[in-house]
Amino acid sequence: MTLAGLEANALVFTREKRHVLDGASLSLDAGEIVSLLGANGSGKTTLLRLMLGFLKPEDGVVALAGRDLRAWSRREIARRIAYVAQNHVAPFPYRVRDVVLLGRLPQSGWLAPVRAGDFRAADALLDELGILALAERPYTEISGGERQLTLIARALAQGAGLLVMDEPMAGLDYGAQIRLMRLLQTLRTKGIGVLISTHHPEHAFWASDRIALLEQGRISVTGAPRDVLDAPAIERLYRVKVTALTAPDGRAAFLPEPA
Amino acid sequence: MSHAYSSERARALILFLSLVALLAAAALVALSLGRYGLTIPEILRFLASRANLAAPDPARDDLFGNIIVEIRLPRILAAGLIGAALSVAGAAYQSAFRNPLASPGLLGALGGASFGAALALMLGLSWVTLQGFAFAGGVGAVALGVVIANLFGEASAITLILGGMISGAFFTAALSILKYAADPYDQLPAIVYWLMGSLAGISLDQILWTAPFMLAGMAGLALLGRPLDALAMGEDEARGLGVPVAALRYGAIALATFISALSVSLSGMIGWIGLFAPHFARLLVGPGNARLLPASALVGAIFLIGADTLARSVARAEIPIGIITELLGIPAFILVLRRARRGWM
Repeated sequence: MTLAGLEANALVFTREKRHVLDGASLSLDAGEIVSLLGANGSGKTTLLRLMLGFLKPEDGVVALAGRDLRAWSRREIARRIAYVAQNHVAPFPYRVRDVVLLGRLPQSGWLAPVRAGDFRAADALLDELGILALAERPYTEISGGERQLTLIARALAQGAGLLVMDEPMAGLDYGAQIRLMRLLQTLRTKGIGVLISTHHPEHAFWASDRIALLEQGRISVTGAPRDVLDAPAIERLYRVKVTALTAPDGRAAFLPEPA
Repeated sequence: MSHAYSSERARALILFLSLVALLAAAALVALSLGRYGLTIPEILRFLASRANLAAPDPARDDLFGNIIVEIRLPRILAAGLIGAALSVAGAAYQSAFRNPLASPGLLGALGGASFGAALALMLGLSWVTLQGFAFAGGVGAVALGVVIANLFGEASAITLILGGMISGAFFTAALSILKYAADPYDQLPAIVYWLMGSLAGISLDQILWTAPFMLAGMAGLALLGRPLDALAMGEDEARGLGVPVAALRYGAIALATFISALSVSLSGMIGWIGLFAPHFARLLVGPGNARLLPASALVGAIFLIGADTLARSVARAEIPIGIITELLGIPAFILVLRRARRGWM
């Protein structure tokens, strides 16, 4: 664990008397990509929200840079961890660039006006994600995938060392999914740690340094993709039978068995 | 890219200067209209002579002073302040609750103020005490709504709105009881008339006394503009951007309730403006609160000065301003709806 890392230890969280999480532990370090896999309703979003400090665990501890998350102010956390939520909609037609500019809030403070430099930085990020043409468009009128990219640009504008994304692939077309994974790998080379939850085992296999499986409220296994993700693991997680194919370069694909 | 930045800044600057010019023009026209018609050159000459920039005209300056300073100016200042305050409160509520339907009455402030005013009228209290009752009723109703929302755990936007609705309904029911019990020849008409709103009874002293509080409340909300943007995007969005959601929301509720209850305590019930002025301003400057809140203030001030001028000059007897704002506000809202709905439908 480096000084920038985020670590959840034995988290317990109950909702309506049901144990959503029952001793879940997961860590994220600078410069690595960690994928969190689990069935629908397995508690992935809850685990991410606990690790961001949005929820308080009933038991267990989340530590950021070795210090209990509860000892950090919301703004201090936001300077170190950026968050991209799932399926986000806005009630008012903010323009795409203005959404990205909100990412400067934790750094600049509430009263700082938006300056030309912020504008340029936002546009550079939009350009990097291939959506600069959308800069002036209302966020409410672009597609779900484009909104996802906008939020990623905003998260990058936060300048945080850690990035937590809840199903960032949802709503992206196949090409955008691949480009997003490549972008995450670029971020990793810059020392940024990325934690994503995903329903795409193949993407996770290809792009992650570590994969964590969330089952029955706990992280059952965590480790390098080839050690964690095989046909039995997929069957256990998603209750479908698959055949695992391995490419010569070590990547894996999972083919569903005919019913 | 910096071209986009400077052209956007220039556009916003021109818009704000135009709104300020429009506000000044509305105020001048409002000063000139009334039972004793004044021309705008006459008003400008009078103002210049008061500022020692033009030769005094003793024959007319006394009369003009009476009409302009004693009678019309307080109303115009009141209309401007109250229109601005209700609109800023509405815009802040819309962001804090992520809800385009939010308005200053959302959490029960107006229902509570009505009850307080009616109670004071029943008890035959003085005008100043009535204003105190109305203010206390407005603040009390919102406080009750917040308490109800917190009965079942940490309050969210939805539970706060529901708590406010319950509290508002309670005060509306209590108001009905007062109306039912009121003397139908004396007290009931006074209550009904108060509920329709009027700027007729406001003195310059009252304006000068409340203006600093109203302006401070509006400035406070304007300073929260950027974090309110984050909150308008969603609660988790705001948390992720380092915004303490509950503290910000309660801060915005407190400031917005404070300035709306003050407004209503001065003027009685003035509806619609807090709902539609923010939507109109959003069409002009976009949804970003750093610009939306000041633009809403200007739009609301211009609108209410116009509405009050109509209220006192269209017919021989004065029409209650609440009726005018609703009659004008409804078609205006329908006009902006066509474009405003893009965001939320």
